[in-house]
Amino acid sequence: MRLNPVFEKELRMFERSVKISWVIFVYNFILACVALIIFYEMLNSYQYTGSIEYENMIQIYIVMAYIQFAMLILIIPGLTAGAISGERERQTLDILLSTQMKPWQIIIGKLQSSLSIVLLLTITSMPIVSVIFIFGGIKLIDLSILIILLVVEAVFIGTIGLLFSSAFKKSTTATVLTYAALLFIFLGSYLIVQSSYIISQAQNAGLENTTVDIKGVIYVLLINPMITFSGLISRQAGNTDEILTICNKFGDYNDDLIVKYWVIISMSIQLALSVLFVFIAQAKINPLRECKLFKKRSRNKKVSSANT
Amino acid sequence: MLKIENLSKSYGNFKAVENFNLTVKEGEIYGFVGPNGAGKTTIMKIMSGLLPADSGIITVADENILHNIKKLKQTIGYMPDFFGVYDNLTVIEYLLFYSSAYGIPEDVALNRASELLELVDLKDKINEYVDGLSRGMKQRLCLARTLVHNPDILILDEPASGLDPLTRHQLRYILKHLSGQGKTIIISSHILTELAEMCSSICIIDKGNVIMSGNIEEILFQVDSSNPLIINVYGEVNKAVPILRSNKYVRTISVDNNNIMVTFIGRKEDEANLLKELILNDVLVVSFKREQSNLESLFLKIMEKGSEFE
Repeated sequence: MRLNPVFEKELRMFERSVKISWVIFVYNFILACVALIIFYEMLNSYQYTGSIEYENMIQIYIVMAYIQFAMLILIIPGLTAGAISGERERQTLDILLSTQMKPWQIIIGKLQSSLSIVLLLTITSMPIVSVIFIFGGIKLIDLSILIILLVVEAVFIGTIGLLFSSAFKKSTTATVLTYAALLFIFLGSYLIVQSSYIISQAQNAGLENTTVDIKGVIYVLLINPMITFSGLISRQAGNTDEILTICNKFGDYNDDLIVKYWVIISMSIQLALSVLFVFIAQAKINPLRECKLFKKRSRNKKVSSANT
Repeated sequence: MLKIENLSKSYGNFKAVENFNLTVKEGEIYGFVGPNGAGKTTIMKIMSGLLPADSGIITVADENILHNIKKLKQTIGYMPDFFGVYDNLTVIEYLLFYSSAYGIPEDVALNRASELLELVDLKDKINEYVDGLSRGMKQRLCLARTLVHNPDILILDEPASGLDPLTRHQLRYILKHLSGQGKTIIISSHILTELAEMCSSICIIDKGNVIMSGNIEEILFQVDSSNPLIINVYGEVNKAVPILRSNKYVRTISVDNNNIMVTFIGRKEDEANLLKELILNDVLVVSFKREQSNLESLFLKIMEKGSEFE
């Protein structure tokens, strides 16, 4: 099977890029430092107590997972938000579009290249993450599920970056707007739910024995990768009710099926949104998309003139 | 043969191209001449599948390629007026990347890239980074890039802009060579002398309309015939003027020492008869010629009275 030409070209450019080497170094350096500090603290307490608590191993896992997640949120927009606008700024997009490559193939090639960086970062961090296997507590399957989630979130965040990159001419604008959109998704979605709850509470003030219900607004959080991530990590750490606890702050969701299968549903929704973002992004860079509209319009005109 | 019929394109209320018609023969080097904003790049982008046309058709081998984008992209190689290159890619990798973007198998692409680098005289730069090449080399590499999929038609938007005379000469040589191989080349340029040397035909465009098109020599003759006749005589000005005045094709006469400038509306044959008449009347004619136009003066002249030609 032949690689996507854009992906292949980006890989070649990445492997020669000093910037990418630095990203890998800094990423693993931060992870290693955190792992060492926690490990040191753990061994220090062992000197006094004489026993190692397996809960501490879980703590290392949680902290490292969150750090990986946070760093990916910071790195991915930087990689994808300049992907298409960078081609425009470099004046290479027209040439690329004049080849046999279809716009969606260009977008997918760019997405693949940013995902390859995510995978590269995840794989290179394995020796550090494997520290947690020394004493057990976390299974390999948990780590695999974590990697799948990180990839899904990378696709989601990456396609948001590509969407802005294809919509705006300048990489700076695209990058700023991508981070702003992510801020909205991470904080804004929570604020929407919170505000709805406060409004609902105010509306129900004075009524006795009434549960405040914000109905479907809670499902806005399904697009929030942070909630999805914390739900999965908490479940792996033994707390299966993390999502329910969050949702129950805004009403009674004990019997809600969506809340029960939150992680899988939110991952599916985020993947579906990613497909939508890719579709919009490819339409944005498709130079002939007006032509299709024109054809439709002219066809409609012909039909209407034929009717009259 | 490439045929463009009734091509139109508007941006909002602004008509960039209006009912543009053109026929280009196979193997011809065709020049697009026009001021900035005339619609040259718009037409070239439509032909390359980078802009949708509002209406019109572009036919290659009796097929409207605007309705078959795959064929359009296979048939046409496009080189934009401004283009960039990728850092961290060598010359050969650059060509192989575009070959793979056209779906060309790697072994075929490798051979083709090698041939093209030979053609554009960059074989010795094969493993150098593209970013480090000079502007002229980048321009030649980009020309090689437009040829990776062996297109029948090349569309080159201002390929010689910013190049030194030597590189322009090299480019001209390469284009003539490609034309000899049967490639149809459409080229736009502001360096009109370059076009005059390279092109067999030209199309003068203004405000999205064709002002004049056809064989470059025929066009120059057509314009030259409106130029004055310049007759240099040896000390016989007073003898020559009455003869000229009596000729029915002569409109105005002005004398400057031994040079007589005559506005003459006759054909070539009438010019010859006038010369014969002067000689038979013992006027010593040193030279007898029409004032010559070059493409630059032709362009300026047409732009000045464009409406006359429309």
